[in-house]
This record gives sequence, C-alpha cells and structure tokens, in this order.
Amino acid sequence: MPSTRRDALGAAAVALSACLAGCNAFSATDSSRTPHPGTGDRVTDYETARQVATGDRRLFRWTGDDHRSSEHLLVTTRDERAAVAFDLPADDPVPRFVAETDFDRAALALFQRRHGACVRLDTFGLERRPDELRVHLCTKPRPADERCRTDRQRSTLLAVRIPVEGEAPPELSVVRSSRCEDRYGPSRDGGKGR
Amino acid sequence: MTGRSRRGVLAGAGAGLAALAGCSVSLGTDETADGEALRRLADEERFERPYPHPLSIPDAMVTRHRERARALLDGVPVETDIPNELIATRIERERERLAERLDAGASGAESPDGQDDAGDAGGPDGDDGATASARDRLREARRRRREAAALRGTYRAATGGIDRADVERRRDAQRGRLAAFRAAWDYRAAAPVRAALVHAHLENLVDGAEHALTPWPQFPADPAADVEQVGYIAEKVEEAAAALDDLERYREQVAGERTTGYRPALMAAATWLRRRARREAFRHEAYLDEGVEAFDRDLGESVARYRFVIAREVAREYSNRDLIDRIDAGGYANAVLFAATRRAAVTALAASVEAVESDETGGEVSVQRIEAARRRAREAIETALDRGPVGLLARLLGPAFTALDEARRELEHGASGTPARALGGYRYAAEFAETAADAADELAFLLEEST
Repeated sequence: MPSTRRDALGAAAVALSACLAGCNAFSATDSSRTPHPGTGDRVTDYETARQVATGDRRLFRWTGDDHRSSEHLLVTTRDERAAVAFDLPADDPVPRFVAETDFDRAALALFQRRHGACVRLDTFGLERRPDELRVHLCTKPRPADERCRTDRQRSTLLAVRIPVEGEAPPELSVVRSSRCEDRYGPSRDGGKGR
Repeated sequence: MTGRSRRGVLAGAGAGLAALAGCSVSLGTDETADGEALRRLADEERFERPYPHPLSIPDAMVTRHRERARALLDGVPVETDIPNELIATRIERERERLAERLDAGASGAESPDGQDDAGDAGGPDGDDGATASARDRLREARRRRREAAALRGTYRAATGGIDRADVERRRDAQRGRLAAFRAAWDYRAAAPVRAALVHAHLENLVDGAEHALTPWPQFPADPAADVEQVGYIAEKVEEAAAALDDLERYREQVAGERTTGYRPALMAAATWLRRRARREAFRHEAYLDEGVEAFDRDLGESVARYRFVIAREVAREYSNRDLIDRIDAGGYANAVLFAATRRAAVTALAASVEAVESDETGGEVSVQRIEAARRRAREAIETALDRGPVGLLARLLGPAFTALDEARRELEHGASGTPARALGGYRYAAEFAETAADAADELAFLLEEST
C-alpha cells in the first residue's frame, strides 16, 4: 500500500499548523488572507483536530442551560468549554486539542456528523464573511484500499481552532461540499487553509 | 451588388410600411387578447438551424471508438475485490451500465446510414430522422470511449495499477500525434469554400484535443485516495486520443480528393474581409461605441431602436479584436468564417443605422406585423440557404437564428414582454440573412481569386 504519506498524515491527527502568519485571522488588516469567491475572505491560519468512531455516536454534547445545536457549536470562553462534554477519553486527540485552546487568542468550532463508513468527512476551508464565519466541510470516498462496508456508519468529530483578536464571536455557518480538492494550491504561511 | 439593390428595395418597402403605420392597430387596446396571441406565435413550430457535417463518417470510425471502449471495459472485472465497498460498488455499477450502453449502441451501428453527406460544400447531413445520424453515433461512441477510460482509470487507481508516469507517457504520446498532425496539415480540399468548412471542423477537433491534453488536474500523490480524480485524468487523455483518431481518418479522406492546400488563400480572405469590415465599421464607430446615445434624437421604444440595438450587439460580438486574435492564433478556417460573419454583421449594423437616420421608426407594433416580419425573416433565411453553399450559409447565419430565438423568447412573455423588440429582432434577422448571403458570395469570390 503506497500510503506512507497517508500514514504520516493520519499520525498527525491533530493537524497543528504553524501559526506563522501572525494568527490574526479576524483582523481586518491581516495580509495572510486572500480573496475567496463570494463575499468572504479566505482564512488560512487555522488548526484542526479530527476523530472518527464506528457506528452512530454522539461524541460531544452541550450541557449548558440553553439549547444549542448538537451538530455544530462555537466555543469562545472557558465557561463554554466547561459545558461541552465529550464521550471520549480526555487524552484523545480532540478533547486534548480543545483543552489546550487558549480562548484569549482563539475560538473553537466543533462539528459532529454521522455518515457512511466508506466516506471521509473533513474541513475544506474557512471563510470570514461580514457577519459570520463560514466553515466548509467536505466528504469524499475514503481510500480504495481501506476496508469498509456501505451498510455501516461512522461518526466524525471535527474541531477547528480559529485565531481571534478580542472581537465579538461571529455567527457560525456550515457549507457542505462533495469535493475536497484544494482549489487554491499550497499556502505560503504553512497553515492548513486550502 | 445584387444584395445591395435588394436592400434598397427592402428599405423602400420599409418606408412604405412606415407611411402606413398610422393606420395599423397598435398593441395595447386589448392586452389580454394580445398577450395570448403573442404567446400563440411563440408556441408555433420553431425554425431549426441546419448543422450540416462537412465530412463523411464511415462506420469504421464509429466502430473504432466502440472497440476501444470495449477493450477498456474488458480491463475492469465484473466483480472487483476492492476493500472500500463504496468505490467497489460504484465501479461495478458503472461497468454494468457502460456494458449495456455499448451493447445497445452496437445494434444502432448496424443501421445503413453509414455516411453523412460528403458532397459539395456541405450538403444537408444524411439524417433521415428514423435512425440516429452517423454524426450522432460517432458522438455517442466517443462518449462511451471516454466513460470507459474514466472507469478503467478509476479501477486501476483503486487497485494500485496506475501511476503518474503511466499517465504522462500516454499523454506525451498523444501530444506527439497532435504535433505530427499539425506539421502535416496544409488545409487540403477539393474546393476553397469546402476547405474552409472541412478545416474549421478539424480545427475544432484540434482545439478539443489540445484542451484535453492540458496537464490538469495534477495526478494525485496517493492514487488510491483519489480514484475519481485519476479516472477523470485518464478520461481527458482518452478524449484527446479519440479526437486524434478522428482527425487522422478525416485527413485521409481529405487527402484522397483531388486537392489543393488552401491555407494561404484562407488567410488572405480572412485578412481582406477583416479590412473591409473595419473600413465600414469605422464609419459607424460612434454607434458601435455609444449605442443609441450616438443618435441626435431619442429613439424611444421604437422597433427601429431595437433593430439597431440587436445589430450593435452582434457587431460587437463579432469584433475586430476577436478576429485579429483568431487570425493570430492560426485557426485559418474558423477565422475566415468569423471574418465573413463579421462582414455581414457590420453591414447589417450600417443598414440599421441608415434606417434610423432616414427617420424610420419601424412603425406600430401589432400581432399581425410581428407575424408578417417573422414570415419574412424565415423566407429571407431560406432564400439565403438556397443561394448556398448551404454549409457555409448555415454557419454564417448564426446571428439570424439567434435573433429568431430571442424574438420568440420575447413573445413567450406575452403582454409583459417587449413586442417591439421581437419585431425588431425579426426585421434584423431578415436583414442579416441578406447580408450573410452577400458575405458568402464575397468570401467565395475572394477565396477563388487568391487561390
């Protein structure tokens, strides 16, 4: 299997991107942002963590008093973080990634989805629009040499850490696409942004 | 000059109609009834544009693509042992679908309609409507071949049977074939107009092959993780190979005739026509640049205004700049056809300006007048096609057919559309049909003279 590259990527399940570009994606003067089709600015200096479980699993839930979506959640303070309960060991990649987030400098977006066992769900890109943060998720078939059955389910948990600079937390919106191609080529700042 | 005198007669008739215009009943006295009448006009049978094929398509050409598709399909097992069941299922289902389509197409290929008209400069294509025309079957076979290549590429990626070097080798081989074709390509044909039509078709195939050979998207670092991408890449390379197969067959066909190389003649005619159109356009530059603002009076919502607006749109679409780009790009046959279309477009623009300046408004708008204008437009197009050569006129008349379509769409909106625009569109189509016939004569003459 020609997948040493893939294994390396998998081992780095917590894809920590070097935050070389100043980590100020929410600043209007940030030069690391490049225009994105539509009205939003492309954000490139975010970090992600991803975990997959077999079956239909709820991997996080909101325990706060108010009602919030069980599919995606924006977490911007320590208190909010305390209200997120993971159905996973604390030292698993995503819970650890969440625990290590410094809310003075970053916000977190959490996503969970149930999907067919033969597809992969991932973050495709981030776009900052005037009044919302739009996260693009994508699905594509898993590699052909990974054994899976179409009548089985998997659940994916995604955490996205987005640098902030003391601004009001934006609204979170989600767009899903059936393609995961990198439309813009490699990023100069080394971020995960595509 | 016959066209010009005919136009003179037409202009006279137009003035006559304008004089009568005061007597005609204008639209709007009964909007509901008029709206219905307009929509009924739009519903009437459409006037189809002919698309004659300038070359023969023997069954062997179709069979060659089908055999290649079958061979590609044979490289994919009916049942795969790919671990990812989603990918395995997609591949198996696509294989089944393609096998059925190929079997279904095989019976169609036995129809006697083995050849489209290969006569003079583009007779009507041999499609009698009962069986798919040879051209349709060729298109279908090429499509199956591409699909089979995509499937085979996907399968090979899923099973570790393809790498970047394989794709690059095959792509380079097609690039070599394309270069060889170009090097030997001297625009041979039995007659000059036929050269323009035949080689315009070959240029389109060459452009298609060239586009299919662009090395994009990149071959993925891990093919098994991106099998569909690999399939798409394989499909593109196969598309180029299929186009080259057809090109090589067509070239044999063309070389078999008693032929002359027409490249210099095509180039000369394109250049002369470009200059003639440029000279005429120069006199009307203000109208081209500024549109209705260039007139010293308000044209209102008159029919003449819409006829002018359409004429200007077409003249700007077939622009001098685009023509220069085409000539520079070396697609001589398409360039000369574009040049002749531009020549007609500029002359039609001049006529529409002249109509406004001689104070014609185009008269009142009524359902009867729209119907009459449409009839005249269709007759003018038929007359132009009859004057021939039909293949050439079918090509040059593009803007007239577009004007007919747009006028019909305007009528579909009934009373809420702009009937004056529909009427202006039909008047333009009639005018353009005559200028296109003149441009075709001029092109034929120039090609003969420069040979």
